[in-house]
Amino acid sequence: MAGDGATAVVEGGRDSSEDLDSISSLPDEILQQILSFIQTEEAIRTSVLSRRWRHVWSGTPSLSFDYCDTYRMLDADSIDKTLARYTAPKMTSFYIDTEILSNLTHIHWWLELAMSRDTENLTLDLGCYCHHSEDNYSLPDFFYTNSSVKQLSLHLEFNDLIPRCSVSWTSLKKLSLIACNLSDEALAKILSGCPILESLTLESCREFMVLDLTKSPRVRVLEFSPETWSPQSVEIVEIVAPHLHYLILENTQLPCSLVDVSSLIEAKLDIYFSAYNELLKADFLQVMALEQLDKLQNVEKLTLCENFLKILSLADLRSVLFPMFKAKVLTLETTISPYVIFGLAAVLEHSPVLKKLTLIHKRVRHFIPEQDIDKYLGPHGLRLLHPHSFMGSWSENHEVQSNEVASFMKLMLGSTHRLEKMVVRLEGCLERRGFEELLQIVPMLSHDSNVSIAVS
Amino acid sequence: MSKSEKKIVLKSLDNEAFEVEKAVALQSQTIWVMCEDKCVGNEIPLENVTGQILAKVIDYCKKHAVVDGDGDESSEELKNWDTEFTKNMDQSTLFNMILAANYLNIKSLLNLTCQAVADKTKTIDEFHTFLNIENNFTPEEEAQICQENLWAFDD
Repeated sequence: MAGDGATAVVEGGRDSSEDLDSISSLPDEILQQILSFIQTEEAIRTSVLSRRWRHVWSGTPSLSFDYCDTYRMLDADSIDKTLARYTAPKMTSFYIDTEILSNLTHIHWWLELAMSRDTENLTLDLGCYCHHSEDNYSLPDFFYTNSSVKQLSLHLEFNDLIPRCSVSWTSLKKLSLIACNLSDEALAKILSGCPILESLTLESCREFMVLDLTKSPRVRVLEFSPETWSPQSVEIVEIVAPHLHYLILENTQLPCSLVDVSSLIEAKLDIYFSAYNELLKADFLQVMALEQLDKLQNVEKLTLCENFLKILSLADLRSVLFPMFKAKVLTLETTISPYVIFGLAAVLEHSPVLKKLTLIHKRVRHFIPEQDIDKYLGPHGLRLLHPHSFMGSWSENHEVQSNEVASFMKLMLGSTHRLEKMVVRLEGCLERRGFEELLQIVPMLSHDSNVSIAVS
Repeated sequence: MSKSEKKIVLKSLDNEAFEVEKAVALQSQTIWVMCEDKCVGNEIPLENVTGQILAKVIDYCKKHAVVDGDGDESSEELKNWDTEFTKNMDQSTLFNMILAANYLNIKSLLNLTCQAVADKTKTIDEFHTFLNIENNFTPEEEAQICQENLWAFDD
C-alpha cells in the first residue's frame, strides 16, 4: 500500500476538483486512518457508500464497541459477527464496553482477538454489565502476558483483579484501573510485571492498603482517587512513591497518607464529596489536608481545587499552622467564593517564591455545600466573615459579578510576595458587560501590584 | 550535520523553491532519509507536492519545530493553532495535505488532517455530501451488506 501515496496527488486549487470524488482515490491505509477517528458503527456504514468502500472499514485499525454511547441493538453475537469480518492485521485501539452481555464468555474471545492483532491501546469496561450480574468475573490467565499493549484501561466494577499467574506486560506505559478489587499482593505483582510503566491511574479501587512504587522507578505520574466507601471501614491507604514526579490526588473522606513523595515536582489536590450520601467529616479532612500539604513543600507546580481550599479555610480559621511552600506556579480550580479565601490566602502567604498564579473559575459537581461548612463552624463559635465586597451580593450561583472578581484578585495580590504573573480564566461565567467592566479595573490592579495580569 | 548546512531548499512539483531551516524540514521522515542518503545536494525535489500545498506543509512544520519541547501552555496553544490550521481548508486542499503528509511521512500532520476529514464527516450522510461519493450499489446489494452488520445500520 505504501506506493499508493505517490500516485494519487490531485492538482490542488481548482474549483472543479471540488466536484470530484477525490477521497475515494486515497489509498486504503489513509481511508482507514480517517475511519479510525469516527465511531465504529459509522465506519461500518461506509461499506454501503460505493464499491470502492465495500471492505475498507474492515481494516480500520481502531474499533470501539460502546453500548452506553450508541444505544444501538448491539449484542454479543453482533460483535462476534462483525469481528469475524474484521481483517486489520494490527490494531491501534480496541474499546469494549459491555452492558449487553448475558454472559462474559465472549469477552475471552475478544481479548484473544485484541491480543492476536497486537493492540496497542486496550480498554475493557464492565461498568454497565456487572450491575445486573451476580457472578464474579476474572480475567483469563493469557491476558496477563502481553508484549504489544502500551495503554491499558480496565474498569471491572468491583470484580477481582487478582492474577493467579505471573504478569508480563512488557510494553505497557500507561495503566488505568477503575473499580477493581486489588489486594496488596496483586498490585505488587502487576507493578512488577510492568517494567516500563510511566503512568498509573487508580480510581475507586478497593482492598489494597499500600501503593508502593518504590520498585517502579519509571512511574512518574500517579492519578489516584480512593474509593468513597470501604467494606473494611477505616483503612489507611499509604502512598510510597519516592520516584514520582506528578501526583493527581482526589481525596475522599477515607484516610490517605503520603508516606514518601520526595521527588514530586507537580501535584494537584482535590477532595471528592457527595453531599447526598455523606456527612462532612471536616475535622478529619483538615488534618489529612494539612498532612498532605506538609509532604508537598518541595513541589514547584501546585494545583488546588475548590473543596481542598474550603477545608484549608477551616483549618486557617482554627489557627492551624501552614507549612512553607517552594511552589513557583500555583493553579486554583475553584469558584470565586468567600469560602475558599482564607485557605487560599494562607497558602499564598506561605509561598514566598511564587511567580505565577492562575485562577480557573469553575464549579465541580462534587463540591462541599456552603451550608455544610456553616453548620460545622457554628458550634465552634466561628463564622466566615465575608470580606466587605462580597457581603450581600455573593450567591451560590455559578455566575459572578465583576466587582467580586476584582476584589478576589485584589485579595490574592495582597497575599503574594514576588508574584510576576496572574492569569484569571472566568470560563464565560461573567457576562459581557461585567467582563468589560473588569477589563477597565485590571490595568489599575496590575499597576498597583506590579504584576502582569491576563483575564479571559 | 555541520552548522553550515543549516538551510535546505525544497522544490515543489511546479518548480517553486522554498528555503527552510533543516530542523523544520527534517520533521518529514522522507526528507530525513533523502538527507541521510546524501545523494541529493542542498536542494531536495519533491515531485509529488505542489507549491501551494508545500507552503502550507512548511507553515505547519515551522510552527511545530518552534514549539516542540516547551511547557504545557504552548502545547495548548499548539493544539489551538492546529485546529485553526485545518478549520477552513476546503475539501481538495485537505486531501492534498493528506497525500503530502503521507508522501513526506510526517505522522503528526497526517493524523491532524485525517482527523479533520473525520470531524467533517461524522455520519454517513455527511460522507455522501461532503465527500461527493456516488453510490454504485443496487438496492439489493446494499440491503445484503446491511445484513452483515445489522446493528450498525439500525436507526
